[in-house]
Amino acid sequence: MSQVTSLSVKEWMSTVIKEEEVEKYLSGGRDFIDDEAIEALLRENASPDPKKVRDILAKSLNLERLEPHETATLLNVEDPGLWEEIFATAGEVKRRVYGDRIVTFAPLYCSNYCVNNCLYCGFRRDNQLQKRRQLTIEEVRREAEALVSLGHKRLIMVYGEHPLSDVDYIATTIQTVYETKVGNGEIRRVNVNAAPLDVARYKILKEVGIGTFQVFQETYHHETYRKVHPSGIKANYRWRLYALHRAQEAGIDDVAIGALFGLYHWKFEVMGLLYHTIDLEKHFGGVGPHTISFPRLEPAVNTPFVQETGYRVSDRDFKRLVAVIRLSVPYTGMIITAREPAHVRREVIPVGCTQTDASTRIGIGAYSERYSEQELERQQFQIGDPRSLDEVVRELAEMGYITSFCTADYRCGRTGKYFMDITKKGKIHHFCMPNAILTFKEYLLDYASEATREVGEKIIAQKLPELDERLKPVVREYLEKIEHGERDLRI
Amino acid sequence: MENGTYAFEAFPEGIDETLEWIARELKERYGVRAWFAEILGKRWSYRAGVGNEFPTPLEHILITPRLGMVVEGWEKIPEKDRSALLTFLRGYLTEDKAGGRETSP
Repeated sequence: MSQVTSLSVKEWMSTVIKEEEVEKYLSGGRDFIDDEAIEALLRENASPDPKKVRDILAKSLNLERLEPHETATLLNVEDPGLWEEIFATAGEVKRRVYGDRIVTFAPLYCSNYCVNNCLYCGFRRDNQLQKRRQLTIEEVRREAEALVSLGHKRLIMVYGEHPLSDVDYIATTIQTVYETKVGNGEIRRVNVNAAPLDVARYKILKEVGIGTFQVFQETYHHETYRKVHPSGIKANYRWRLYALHRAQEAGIDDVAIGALFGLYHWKFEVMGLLYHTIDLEKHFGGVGPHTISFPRLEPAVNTPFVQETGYRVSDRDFKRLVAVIRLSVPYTGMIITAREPAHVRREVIPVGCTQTDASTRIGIGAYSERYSEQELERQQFQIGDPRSLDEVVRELAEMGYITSFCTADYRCGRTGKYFMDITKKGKIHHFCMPNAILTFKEYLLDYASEATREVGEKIIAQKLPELDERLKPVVREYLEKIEHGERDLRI
Repeated sequence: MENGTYAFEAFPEGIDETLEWIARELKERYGVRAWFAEILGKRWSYRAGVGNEFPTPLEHILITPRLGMVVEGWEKIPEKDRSALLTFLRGYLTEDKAGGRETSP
């Protein structure tokens, strides 16, 4: 690491932002987040009439994206009984679009060097207690082998913003993961969580066949953003806000947004996520975010901001915000992560989540080095649910969900506009549920414990009769082939 | 990808419109649904064409190392027409594109 001096870091930082790649998306010099307009919508739609709320729920059930004033209305509901209707409807919307399946993945943190100084983040530049490390290519391979051996097929690879983990490093580490095989197992889809890039650098990432590129705005509130990002590249709000516009422009057609809940008021952030969705859809032929994430702020080493923020989100409000996001963008995937403790995940998954992680370790090198305790000085934050993949899969099955390891859409051209078009029509479950069952069966045979296999086979038997009649014969045939050793069968 | 320099294969200008037209023709003439995808490692990334909203048996046809076609009902197209289509597409996609390559900064 010694070849990167503070001078060369500064030089590198000066090459990252291309203002012209932001300005082209501005309207009258303004970005698409109008703080005052959002605050006004939240004020104007206070104490909503139950009939108005139910009309909005009906619109969501019809899989139509909500308008900002409708989302503001839902956010302002106070009546607990009406919230129960909202939760039930959110769950029903998710079932209609995706079926009873949860896609599972694991995060792989590759580097915690960072040039930014985000007050809430354990990786921030000035945090002297963070042990800095970047995985070598051989270490990435070992991490991938460890994850494949657990049964994972999807990863999200995570990188700090630093010249050491620039686009060349990101591309090389992704290729390394794709090349890694252990027995029948391999990683079939790598999603990426990294700093915003310019169009030319996104094109390099596109070349290695990434799944989704994910950038969280953290907070959409301009003033709060400025306060919590005092220096570094990330201090530029608009460079980040339009990160995924540039990714789409470069041809990466699966992009993912998110907000870090706890930096500013949760209702404002939900509105920000909706406006972000609307602007992406406006510019890219209806293709908005592939997924939306809603992490809550968690403790990190030597990071007092987390305790000091006045916007911590309670478990009650967290469930509410997840349901409102589901109803606001009925067709988009929603990710709940192991930041949340098991009891929260159990409570919140049924109101609309489509993806979750499991066997999560977020320390650099944590999978292959097999340390089981969390070590905050090499983590970005503290996770709430460190359970194994097998335990999470078993619990999801007991809750009535098939755990999906499916990556079929991405490997047969059902991406971007094609994916979004069929998802908006509520037809994607015709593909999701059969492929979820097939990949789940593979997992049960190759990786599951006896107890998980038992409950897993029961849930497959329960879900098979619910498939469309036309799909049942081929799924049954494929299940038999999987029993006899064939793998990677998909429709 | 070597020494930080990346060479991207450039597609002919207007390729998506051409592929859309071919997909429409296949649907109208043979009742066959087809869509085209850019091949990026393991990813087949949608470019153009008409997919189905319901799963049916699919053929993955490699046109060049960079472009694939996914087809429902490939067998409905007469052999000579299939062959002519692939010959046309391969010629169209591999014609001289001097100057069409880009490199990273």
